[in-house]
Amino acid sequence: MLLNTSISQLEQSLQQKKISSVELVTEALSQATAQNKTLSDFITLREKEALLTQASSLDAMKKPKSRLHGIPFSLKDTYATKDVLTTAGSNVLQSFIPPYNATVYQKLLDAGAILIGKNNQDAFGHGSSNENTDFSPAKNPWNTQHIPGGSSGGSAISIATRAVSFAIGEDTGGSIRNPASMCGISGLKVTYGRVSRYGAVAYASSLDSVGPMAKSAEDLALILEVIAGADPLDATTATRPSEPYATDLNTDMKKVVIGNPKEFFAEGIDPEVKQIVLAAAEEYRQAGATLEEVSIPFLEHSIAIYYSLAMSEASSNLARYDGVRYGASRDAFTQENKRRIMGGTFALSSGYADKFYKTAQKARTVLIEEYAKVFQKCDVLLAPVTPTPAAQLGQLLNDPLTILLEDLYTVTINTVGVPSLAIPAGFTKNKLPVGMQLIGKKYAERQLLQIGHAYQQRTDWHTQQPPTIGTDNDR
Amino acid sequence: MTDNTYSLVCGMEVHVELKTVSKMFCGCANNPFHAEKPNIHTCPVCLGMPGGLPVANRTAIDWTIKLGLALGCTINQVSKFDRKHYFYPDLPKGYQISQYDLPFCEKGQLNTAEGAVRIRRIHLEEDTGKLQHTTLDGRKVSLIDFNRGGVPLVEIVTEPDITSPAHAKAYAKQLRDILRYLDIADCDMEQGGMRLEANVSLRPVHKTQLPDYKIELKNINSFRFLEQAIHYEMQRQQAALEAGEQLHQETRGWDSVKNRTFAQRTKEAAADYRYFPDPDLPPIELPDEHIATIQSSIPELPAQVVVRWSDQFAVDPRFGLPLATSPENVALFEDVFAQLTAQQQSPNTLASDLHNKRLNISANTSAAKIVAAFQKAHDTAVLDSDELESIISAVLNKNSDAVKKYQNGQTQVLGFLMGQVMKELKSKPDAQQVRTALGKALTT
Amino acid sequence: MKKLPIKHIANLANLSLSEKELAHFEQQLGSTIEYMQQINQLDTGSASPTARVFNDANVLREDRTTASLTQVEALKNASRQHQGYFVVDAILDKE
Repeated sequence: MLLNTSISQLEQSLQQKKISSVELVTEALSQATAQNKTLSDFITLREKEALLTQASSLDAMKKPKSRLHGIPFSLKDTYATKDVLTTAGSNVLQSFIPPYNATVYQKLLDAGAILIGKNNQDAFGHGSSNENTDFSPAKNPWNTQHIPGGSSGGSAISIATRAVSFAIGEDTGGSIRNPASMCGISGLKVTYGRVSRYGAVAYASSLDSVGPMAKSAEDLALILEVIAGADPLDATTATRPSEPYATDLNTDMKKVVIGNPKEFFAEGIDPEVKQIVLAAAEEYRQAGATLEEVSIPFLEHSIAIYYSLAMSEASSNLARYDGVRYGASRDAFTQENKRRIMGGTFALSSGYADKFYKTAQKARTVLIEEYAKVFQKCDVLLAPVTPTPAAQLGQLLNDPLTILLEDLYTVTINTVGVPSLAIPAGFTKNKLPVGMQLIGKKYAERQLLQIGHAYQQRTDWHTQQPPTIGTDNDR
Repeated sequence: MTDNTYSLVCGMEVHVELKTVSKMFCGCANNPFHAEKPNIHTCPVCLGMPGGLPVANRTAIDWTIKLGLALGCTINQVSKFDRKHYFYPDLPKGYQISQYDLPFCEKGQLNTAEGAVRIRRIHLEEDTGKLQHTTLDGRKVSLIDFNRGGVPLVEIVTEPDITSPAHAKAYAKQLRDILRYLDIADCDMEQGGMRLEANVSLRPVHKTQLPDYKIELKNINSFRFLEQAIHYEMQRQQAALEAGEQLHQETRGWDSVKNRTFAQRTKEAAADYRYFPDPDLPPIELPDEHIATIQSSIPELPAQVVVRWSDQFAVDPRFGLPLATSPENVALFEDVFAQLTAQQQSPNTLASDLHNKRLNISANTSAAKIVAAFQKAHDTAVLDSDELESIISAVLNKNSDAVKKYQNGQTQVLGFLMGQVMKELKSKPDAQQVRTALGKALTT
Repeated sequence: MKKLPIKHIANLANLSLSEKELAHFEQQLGSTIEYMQQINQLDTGSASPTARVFNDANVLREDRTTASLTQVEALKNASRQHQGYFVVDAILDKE
């Protein structure tokens, strides 16, 4: 299986003509097609013909366009792709063919990477189980009775099963990290403003971030080099240029202080998850890092703060879907979409805006200050991604509050705007993956990737693959 | 108003499209009125497609500040854009990007011949698409064109300082003149490039408290209609109040055929715009230096120009104002006035001639041509008084009957004699000079 | 807290909900909002509101045109179009 190897290995083999992009694409499409029936990780797979044409023309080039030249990837279906269906997992957009490309897709196209297909997700990103999709609910490749996490569930599955080399997810309150953790892959939620949001279907504009998902921190670094940077089409992208994230991933762990925020390990966390993440902290200690207990007191209120903001912005961002210029009517929204639109409309409405939206904005300031204070004492924070491993299918439906609480450890990072790297940290007794997250200061992506890489040098959780799913019948 | 029991309480909201090259938040052409076809100046941003993001037009912001400074406003050093939510098919995103609590400009004033009007605020927003109502296959439908959607739109809001329909008209006209003078808007009223709204209510003359209702007069597309509509409203409201009727908040339009206002159906039953800062648009900081740079780019305004012309060239401001329509015209007439002054001729006479349409000049003319036309029209300097006297005495000799009649008190023959003298003169004389000379000859 | 103005919210949100849905959302939203209310007990001291976590200001574009979509591209996803226009049913007053 070619796609089981790292991007840099693939890059090398491609350059030495040991393998071709045509072979990679063929393998990717075959794997994706086979497993999609069971796992439903793709909403759209591109036509084989078109893929092979693109791959062979890339193979014919003398000079690679970038280090991602000829590498197959997928996009969460939240990114606009010219002439390719873009649904955001919703019936509202079930036949929407954008006449434009999202910036992140354009950058990857220009880099010579090959789009295999568009991944399943919770409709408009509303959910963390991938069950709130208007397409078939996606399933966890480690155990198909379980959810893959969400909302970028399809992307995490495609990487875990090696149907693609990497994917671009979108994270508003954990939507990259949550499925990465539940599917046993690596995902990076970048600093707000690090990667352009242009062409990404908006959920909550002050929280949305576009980031890479892949097998390892090393792969993520390569992808981030390509997609990071200012975009004239997004006024909230930082002017600072992309960094050589993939150059020299090694770091001296003896110089690193890792903070353990105690509230992230308090009541409500599954004992197995807690034990796995604490074991990872111990691994870092053995590697020479200094561990320090720190505190984010406002964490317990973070769900209320986050959802006041996220639902308010969602109600605004989803106002454009009126079925006039594109898409179906507003009746086509899912129950979860409608719930968030209603909640946000309420939180912004006259007489309530001060109590909800405005108060949440003030609390957001306090959270930002708490994080700033903690980062005076340590370089990164180490925390679990979700309180529990992947739930069983259907378990999280119909209980809106429980769904929200699943996001307790991830939402503050978006509220504050800092980066967070989720990487595999172990497995439960039932063989379900459990991830951890390394949270950094603004624009500290490089440091996070180095520290994540150090862990992946010492452990092999990230190399584990789920049991084989699908057959080779389609080959 | 027929009597003095009520006085007018009136403020205005004027929307003006700025004539930037591109739209407010995207690079589509800002050319809604001359587009060949509907929906050709659109993109994912101004069509509100998924993932479209706004990026604000620097020039539109600078021009808004320019207008604010020209109207004596305070410029907010930190400003931002907010989302204003309501649903209407001409509003692609379900919200309009506007400014809520931090507009670019606040607290200015515009002085008109009818009195001053305080400006409450000036903010910048995006225009909506254009709806056209028709019937298709027996169904009543609206057609939407988004060429206008996203065009930069400034809204100028006044305090309720307007005291008469003429005051409203003077304010609106002068505002248009300033916008054109600054060269930031075409203000095409017909096309909707400038849209007038007046909030009209009445209060008993002895009370200072503002009325508890407000009638919004909308969709008025000429200054004359504005004046007529306010006048009509005052009478209508007075009649209603005198009949003991309770007036309520209402939007009314102007029917220019029947010459009356009429109640309009409004889109928002209970408006709740749910404003919040647009997260897609970083705030705008305006340091003093930047404001000073914009200030220095503002040309001398008509109100200042006419005062200076009055001091410098003795030109009556009433005649000067219609000439100060643009910085180019100010420079042109400045040149004309200087040339006339150098030749000991009166700039005020020229200004007065133009004002009274005694002298017509074509567009794009030069100072030299205007001076020549003026001199040709008057031609007073070349008329030699000896020559005039000899012509007059020849005419009087030839028409001794008329002279007798005049001397017998039939002064109406003076006109006939004037005509005879004028006929003999080769160049076009100053009638006043001729009349004086003739009168003198007849009485001696 | 007062009874939720659920119909008014649905109207503001431009969602046409059935009586059943309204009742359903009233209950669900009620419990969510009750939970959210905890933020009103928080001591946020003198903290000023944060609307954005992106700290740059004055990110503007120059007044230049860029390529627009063609009329065909602009309209191709529309459910109804007529001679280059988008089409909607004539707007009727709500409520």
